[in-house]
Amino acid sequence: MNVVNFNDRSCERYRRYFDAYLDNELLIETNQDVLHHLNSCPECSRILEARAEMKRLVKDAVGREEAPPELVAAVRTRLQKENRSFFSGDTARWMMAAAAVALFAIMGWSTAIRWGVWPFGNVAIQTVSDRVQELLRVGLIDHVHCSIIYKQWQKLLSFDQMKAETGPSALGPEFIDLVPIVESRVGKEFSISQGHRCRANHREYIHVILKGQSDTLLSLVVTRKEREGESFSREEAVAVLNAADVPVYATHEGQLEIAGFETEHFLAYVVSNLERADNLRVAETLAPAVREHLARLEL
Amino acid sequence: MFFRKKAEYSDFEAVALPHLNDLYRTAVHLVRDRTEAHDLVQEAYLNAWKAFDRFEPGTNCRAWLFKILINEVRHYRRRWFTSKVVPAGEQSFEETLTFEPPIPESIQDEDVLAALDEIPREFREIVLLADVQEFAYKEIADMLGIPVGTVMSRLSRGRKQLRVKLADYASAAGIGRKLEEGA
Repeated sequence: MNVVNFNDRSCERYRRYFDAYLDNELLIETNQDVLHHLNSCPECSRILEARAEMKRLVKDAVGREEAPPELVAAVRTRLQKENRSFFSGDTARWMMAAAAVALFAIMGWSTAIRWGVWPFGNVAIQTVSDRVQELLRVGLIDHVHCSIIYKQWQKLLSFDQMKAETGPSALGPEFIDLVPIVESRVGKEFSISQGHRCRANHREYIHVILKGQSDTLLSLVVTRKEREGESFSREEAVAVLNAADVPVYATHEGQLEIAGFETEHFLAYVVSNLERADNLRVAETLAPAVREHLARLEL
Repeated sequence: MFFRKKAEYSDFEAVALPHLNDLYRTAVHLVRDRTEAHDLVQEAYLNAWKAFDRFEPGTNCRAWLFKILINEVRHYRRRWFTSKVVPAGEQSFEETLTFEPPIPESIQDEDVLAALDEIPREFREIVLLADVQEFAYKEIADMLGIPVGTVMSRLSRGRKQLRVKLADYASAAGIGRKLEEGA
C-alpha cells in the first residue's frame, strides 16, 4: 500500500484535480485515478472534504438571500411598459387600437406617432422610410380590424360557401381564386378560415384569413392602390427579399409582422403573429402566384 | 414548412422570471451593492425581453439570462470604475501559501459572505457561477468570453483565497482548530 504524506509529489498532482473533481468536470479516467488516490490517502481525503464543505457553505450563504418582493414588481412593471407586450393582452387594448386606426384617417400615421397616440409605439422605423412604413401599415389595418378586433377567423367558411356568397362581402369571381392559390402554397400548418371583401379606414380590402397552430393568425390582405404615389418602389425602399423577382418589403408593429409587395394597381400584404423570418417565408411563398393573379386582373 | 409564433410576453415571464432570485443574488455579490443589483437585474430583464426573439426555446434560459446580466454588470463597471484586472501571473499572498487550512468550525454565513466579497472580482464571479449557480465550466467560459482553462485557474485561485480568508477570520475570532501547516 502506498503511504502518502502531505509533501508527496503525487499528492500535489492529484490536488490540482480536486476543484474539477468537485464540479464533476473530470474525464471518467481521471476521475477514477483521483478516487483511487483518495482511497489510499487520508490527508487528501480530508482536504477534498474541506473543499466540498467550503463549496456548500458558499452556496448556502449566498443562496439564503432572497430578492426583495418590490424587485419582482419593478421588473414586471418595466417589462409591461415595453410596447411589445401590447398585443398579448385584452380587448380594451384592441379597442384602443381600433380608435387609433380611425384617428389615422384624420391625422396620418407619422403625426399620430409623433403625438404619441399610436398605442403600438414607434418601432422599426429605422429600417424603412416613414412613407414605406405608412404603406405597409395599410395592410396591417385590415388584419387588426377583421382578424383581431372582429375575430372574423372564428367564422369559418368553406370554399363553396365563399363562392356562393353574393353580398358586398363576397370575394366575387375576380378574387375567389386567391383562396385555392393561398391554400395550395401555405401547406398543412395553416387552414383557411375564410375570405371576404371588407372596408376599414375608408378603404376596400380583399382579405383571406388563415388560422395556424398554437394561436397563430395570418392574413393575406389585398387592396387597390388609391393614388399614383402608393408604391413601394417609388419610395426608393430596399426590399428585404426578392421572391422570384417580386420585391418584398417588411416591417413590424408590436407583436405583428408585416410583409408587402405590389403590382401595378394593387398592394398585397402578409400580416401575422409569426416570427419575422417565418412571416417573410410565407410572403415569399405567396408573392409570385398572388402577383400573377392580380396582374391578370389588370389586363 | 414549420412556422414559429412570434415570442409573447407571457412566454417570456414563464421562462425568465423564475430565475430572478438567482440573478439578484449573483448581482449583489458581483457589485457588492444591493441598490445597484436591483437596477442591474431590471436592466438585464429588459434586455432579455428585447432579445427574446433570438432566444432558442429548449436551450438553457438560465445560462442565457446570466450572460445578459454579466454584460449589464460590465457596462455598469465601465460607467463607474476603471477596470482593475488581476495580472495573470501575479499571485496574492494567500495563494503563495502551500498549506490547506481546514474549514473552521462554527463559521457563520456572514463570515463566508464577507470573505467572498473580499476576493478580487475576476475570481468572485467565477466562484459565484460555479459554486452557487453550479454552471458547467463551458457555460461559464461562454458567459464571460474566456477560455475554459482560464475559468479553471481562476476558480481554483478564487477558492484558495476564500479558504485562507475564512481561516484568517476564524483564527482572529479565536474559533476553529489551529491551522495545520504543510512544510
